[in-house]
Amino acid sequence: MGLLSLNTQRHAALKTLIFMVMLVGVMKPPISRAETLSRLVTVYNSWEEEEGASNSSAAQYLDLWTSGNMNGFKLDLEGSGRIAAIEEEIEAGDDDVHRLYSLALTVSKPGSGGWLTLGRQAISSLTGHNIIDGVSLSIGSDPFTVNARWGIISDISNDDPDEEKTFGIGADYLLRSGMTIGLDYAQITDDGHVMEELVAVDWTYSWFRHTKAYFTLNYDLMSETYHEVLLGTRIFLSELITTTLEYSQNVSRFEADSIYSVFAIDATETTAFSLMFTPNPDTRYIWEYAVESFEGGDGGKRYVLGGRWTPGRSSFYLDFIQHLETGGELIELSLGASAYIHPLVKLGIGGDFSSTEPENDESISSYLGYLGGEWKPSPNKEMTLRVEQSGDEVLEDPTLAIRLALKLEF
Amino acid sequence: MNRRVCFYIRRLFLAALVIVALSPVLSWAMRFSHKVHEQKGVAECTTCHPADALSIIPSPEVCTPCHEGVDLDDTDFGPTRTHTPLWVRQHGRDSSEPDAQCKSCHTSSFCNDCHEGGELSPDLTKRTIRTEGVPRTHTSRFRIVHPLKTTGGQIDECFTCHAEEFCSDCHDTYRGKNRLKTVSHRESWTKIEAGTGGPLHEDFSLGQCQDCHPDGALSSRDWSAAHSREAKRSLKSCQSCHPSGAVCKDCHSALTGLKISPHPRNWRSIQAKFRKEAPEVCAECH
Repeated sequence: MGLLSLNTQRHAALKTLIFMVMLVGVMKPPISRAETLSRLVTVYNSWEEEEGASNSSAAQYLDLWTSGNMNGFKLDLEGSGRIAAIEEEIEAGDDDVHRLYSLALTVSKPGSGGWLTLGRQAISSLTGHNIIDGVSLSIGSDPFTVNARWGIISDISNDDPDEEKTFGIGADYLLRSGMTIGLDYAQITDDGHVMEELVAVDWTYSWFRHTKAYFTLNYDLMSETYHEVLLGTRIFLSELITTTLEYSQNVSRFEADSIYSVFAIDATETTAFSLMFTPNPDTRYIWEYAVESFEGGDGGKRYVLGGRWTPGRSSFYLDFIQHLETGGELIELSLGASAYIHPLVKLGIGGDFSSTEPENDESISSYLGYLGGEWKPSPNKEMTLRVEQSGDEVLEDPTLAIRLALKLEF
Repeated sequence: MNRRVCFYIRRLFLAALVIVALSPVLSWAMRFSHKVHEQKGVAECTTCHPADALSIIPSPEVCTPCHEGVDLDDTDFGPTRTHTPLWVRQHGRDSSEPDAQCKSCHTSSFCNDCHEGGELSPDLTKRTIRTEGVPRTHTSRFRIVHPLKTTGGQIDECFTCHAEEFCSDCHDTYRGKNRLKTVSHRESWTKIEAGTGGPLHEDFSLGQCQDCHPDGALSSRDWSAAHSREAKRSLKSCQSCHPSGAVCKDCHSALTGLKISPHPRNWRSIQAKFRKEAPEVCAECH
C-alpha cells in the first residue's frame, strides 16, 4: 500500500469522523426525549494452527443508538465501530488492523409509513479500503409502497480511487389480504459502465394461517438468463405438522468486466421436501429430502433428520445429514446440549462428526467437541467462554481453540 | 351384502376425500406466543421491543440469538401490515440460497455486526470459535469435508461470506498434491501424450495446437468433457483459483490454442451489451 493511498484513507476516515460529530452536534439540541443505548463487546480468540503453530485474534465493537422526536419527525441515529486484528497478519510498519465505522440517520414520520435513511460506512482491511455512502427511502403505506436506494462504493486502496455505484428501485403492493407482490430493479455501474443489471418479482401469499406460498424470479438483463427462480409452499397440516415443498433454479452470475461473464454456465435445479413435527412447544422433529440436478445431467441427494428439545431453559439438539453427490458421499452427525446450573450461569457441551468418501478416493473423517459457559451477572453484563478441540485423519495431532467474549451495555 | 360393503367403502372414500380437501381449513400454523416466551425467561417486553423502535414488530435479529432462522419462517406472527419491507423478513432465507449476492454490496462484516460480531449469542452451539459468523454447515474441519459440499451450485453459498481468495490461499499451499485437485485436474491435458508414446502436450506451444487440432477437433473428449462439466456447473470455483481466467484462454481464445468458443448459446443476442460495457474483456481473446 502506497503512502499516498494510506493518507487518502486516513483523510477519508477523518472526514467521516468529523461528519459524524457535526451531525450529532447539530441534532442533539432540538431532539426531545432522546434516548440512547450503547454496547461494547470485546472478543478474544486463540487457536492452534497445523504443525504446532498458534495464532490469536482480538476484536472490539462499539455500537451506539440514539433516537428522539423533532418537529413531528422521528430521528434514529445509529453508529458502529469495529476494530480487529489477527496476530499472524500484523506486520511491522503496516496499518493492517481491520476497521469498520458506520453512521446512519433515519428520519420517519410516525403514521406515514415512509422513512429516509442516510448513511456512510468506512471499511479498512487487508483486502482493501473503501468508503460506502448510501441513501435509501420508502414512500407510502399499505397497500402500496415504493422504495429506492443509491450507493457509492469508493475504493481508496489505490492512488487512483475507483467508484462503483449501485441503484435500485422497487415497489410492493398488497393485492389482497395476505397476498403481496413486489417488483424490483437493480443496477451496478463501474465508471459509467453497467456491470450488473437485474429485475426481480417477488410474490407471497398467506392463506389465513393454513398455507404460505412464495415465488421469486430474478432475471439477469445482461446475460438474459433467469438467474434465480424460487417457488415454494408451506402447508400447516395441523398445529403439529408443517410441510414445505420448494423448487429452485440458479445460474451463477458475474460482473461484466470478468471474463467469466461471457462463458456458458449450466443451471442447477433443486427440489426439496421437508416435514416438521412439533408435538409440543418444547419438542420438534425435522425430516428433509432434497434432490439436486444439473442442466448437463447428473445430480445429488440430501437427507436430513434432526430433533430439538427445549424443556424449561435447557436445550438439546441432534442432526444427521447425508449427502449423496455426483462426486461421492458425505455423512454428518452433530449433537449438543445446554442448561443453567445457576440462575446466572449456563453451560453447554456438544460436538460433531463428519465422514466423507469421495468417488475413487479413500474416506476421511473428522470430529469436533466443545465445552462452553455463559455468565450474566447483571442484565447489561455478559461473559462467555468456549473451549473447542477438533481433529481429523489428515492431521496427526488434534488442535485446541479458545474464545472469550465480554459484553457491556450502558 | 357386497352392495352394502361397496356403499360404505364409497362413503368412506368420499369422507376421506372431503377431510383431505378441508384439512388446510381445519388446521393452524405454529403461532407465536408471548406466554411461551415468558415461560422461557423473557420477562421484559423491551427485550424484543426496543423503546421507540420504528415498528412494534421486532426485527429478525431480535429473535435469532435464541431461534434458528427456519423458526421465523415457520411461525405465524399474525397480521404484518406494519411490516411491509419484504427484505427484512426474507433476508435470512435469501442469503442462504445458492448464489446469494449479499457480498456484491456488503462485506462479511456487515453480516457479522448483527449476527455475531456485535452480539454475543447465548446459543452456545454456534461455531464462533475461530472466525465470527461461521454457519452451521461448517462442521468439524470444514476443509476436510468441503470438497463434496462445494460441488455444483453450492459453491455459491461460500461466496456469500468468502472472497475467492479464501479458497486459493489454501489450495495454493497444497498445489501439486493430487488429493486436493478436482477430477478434471488430476490429469492435466499438459500431461497427456500426443498419440501413443508421443511427446507430452506441454512440449508444444499454443501456436502449434491448430496443427494437430484444426478447428479445435479433439481425438478424445475425456479430459475436455470432464473440465467442461465442472466449469459449467461451478464456474465460480474456477474463478477462485484462476481469477483472471488466463488458463482458460489457452484453449478458448480466438487468437491462439484450440480457438474453442466458450460463449453461451444465446451469445448472439447478448454480445452487443458486453462489447459496449466491457470491451476490454472482448479484447483479451479477440
